[in-house]
Amino acid sequence: MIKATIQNSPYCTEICFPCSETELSKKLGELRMYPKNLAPIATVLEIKPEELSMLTDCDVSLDALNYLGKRMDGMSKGERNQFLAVLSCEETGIGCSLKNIINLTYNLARFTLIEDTDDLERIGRTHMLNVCGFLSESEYNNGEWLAEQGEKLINSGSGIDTDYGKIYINKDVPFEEKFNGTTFPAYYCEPNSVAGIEIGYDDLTEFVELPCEDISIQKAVYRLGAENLNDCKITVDSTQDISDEWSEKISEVEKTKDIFGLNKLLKTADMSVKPDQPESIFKKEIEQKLCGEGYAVADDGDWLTVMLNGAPVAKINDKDILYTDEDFYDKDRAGAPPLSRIVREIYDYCSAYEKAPPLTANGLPNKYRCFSEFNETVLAAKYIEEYGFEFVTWDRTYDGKSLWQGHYYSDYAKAKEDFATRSSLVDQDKLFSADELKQIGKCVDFTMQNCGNLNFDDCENLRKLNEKISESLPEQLQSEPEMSM
Amino acid sequence: MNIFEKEIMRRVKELDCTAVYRENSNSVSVSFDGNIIAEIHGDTAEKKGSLDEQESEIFLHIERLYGNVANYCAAYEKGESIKNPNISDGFRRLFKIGKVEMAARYDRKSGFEFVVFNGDENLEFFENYDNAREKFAVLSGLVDREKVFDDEELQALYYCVYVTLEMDDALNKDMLELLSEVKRRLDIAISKNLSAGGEESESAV
Repeated sequence: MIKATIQNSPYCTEICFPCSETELSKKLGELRMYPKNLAPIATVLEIKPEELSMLTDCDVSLDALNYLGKRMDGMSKGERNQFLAVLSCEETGIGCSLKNIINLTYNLARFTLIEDTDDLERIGRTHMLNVCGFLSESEYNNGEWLAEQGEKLINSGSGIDTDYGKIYINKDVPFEEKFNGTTFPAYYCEPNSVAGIEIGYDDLTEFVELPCEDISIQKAVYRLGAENLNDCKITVDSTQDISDEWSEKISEVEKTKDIFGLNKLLKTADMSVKPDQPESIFKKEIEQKLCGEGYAVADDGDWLTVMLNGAPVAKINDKDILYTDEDFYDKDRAGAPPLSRIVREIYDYCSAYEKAPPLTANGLPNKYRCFSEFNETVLAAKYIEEYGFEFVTWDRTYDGKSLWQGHYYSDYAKAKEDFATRSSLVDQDKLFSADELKQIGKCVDFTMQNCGNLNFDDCENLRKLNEKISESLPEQLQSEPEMSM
Repeated sequence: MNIFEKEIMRRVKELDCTAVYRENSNSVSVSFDGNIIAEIHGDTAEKKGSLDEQESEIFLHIERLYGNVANYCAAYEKGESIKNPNISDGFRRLFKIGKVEMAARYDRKSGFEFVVFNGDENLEFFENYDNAREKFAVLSGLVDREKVFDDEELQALYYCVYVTLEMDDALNKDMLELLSEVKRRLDIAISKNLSAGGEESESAV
């Protein structure tokens, strides 16, 4: 939020940005300016955050300041620090214009902020996330590559000290002008908006979110320099998930150009929002399982946003996971399985379930689907909305028509292992439980430390074997403190 | 003689046994050191006479071998021919989970050859059925790669557990029991691998 003392000499008032058009009109009245002014300009006397103090004593567009306030409100804590850090040092070349400051909100990738220079891997992750916007799972977990990128950045020696950390200018990333100083780029942030409308005139464009206050539309047309809406090209830029009937009504505006009429309709009409599509089993499972691990999940349509402590950390689309927060790192969450592993497992069994045929056997309720069958052993699952998945392994009876000796699991990995051993795909004497593996790992350690007749190769083989054992252990057992045997 | 009988006769040689097919009884007699120790009919492996300790142990291996060979021969006989540009003709599908398949080809002289693959990827050939099944289980995601140990690793683990049981005076009763059971299972696993045609590696440690 921006808090500014605004003057229209000799009148002063304090305005918090962003604010609604109604609030702004009221403040213009306090400044003895025309409340319906379509391009209000006034002088900034004081402003917070103080990094914006270059605007002090300048005449600024209050609509532009309002737009900047909206952009800043949409920033994460990290982005805000990065933004303020760039503004706080002159070497970044942002200067004093509000136009450049607004453009900076679209160009943060050009500036990497490193708060702590000790951990090269983390520096690399922060830097690459900033430059690329997101990292794939393999990039995100490639510690060696990330450390290399971090080292490269630090060794460039170009870091500029700020109160927020060191700022590095990424000269390969151009500073693009998204805001031309007059017409605003699309930025949809109203939670209750139904449609985004693009208004074009000559080579300029403006965007309004409907429903809105009529003055927002008037201001957009004014900034375009058009006499009236009939001279403009109207395009529906985006719509919420609404019924086809409403979607058609909104599209008509492209022909009628009656944005005010549509705005009135959307303000007063009882919007019949499209009935919810049945939520996919995958999404439900993701929500249920991740909530159990302390995450929150929001459905953005195509992507699921995963949040930890209120901050988004990753996005999920089927088995694809994009990490979006440099401060979040799976390995930091001691005792918890990595997010990627949870997501992949859920994707595996949900997609297997969707493709699986019903399992048929005498006396079996028709609720189970057959994942796999091998050597007269069956791996099956059933899904109940209230409880989630139940996995089962059964043996077929001698005649193959019935099933018996069911082993029931809520853990898919355990069910698969049971299926692998019951069906003799893997010898059960060769497959050890997590507790057994942990103790076997300790035996390998003990042998390396106490067996004097081992040569270098033996020790190396045992070390690799112990690494393999360690990787197979669930995180809870890996992170447990060592206990005496 | 059917494929199963031919294959079992070929495989018992790996146990230093000899085998003779008896046409009149449709059975295979297996001898060790000149003594007949087992008679294999269509669906059973029967012990012959009173066996000494070594012969009894070999008979156990024959029983396991019998189960294995019967399993893949039955799957092969029912299997459809597979079409994959990376695999030569003659392979038949034994099992499939998702995209992961296991197939086998039979040759009168050299016996069975197995292949495991995931679509067009991860193509791997095996002579040993157990190794092929393990690969199939790992590739199809049924078990974690890290949880499956090869012969050499099993022997190294056995050695480490053995050393710990012998030398670590600090082991409590529960640990002794757990590790003794682990050692017993490792012993069985190694011995099964040997009877399944696994190469006995030089001492891993």
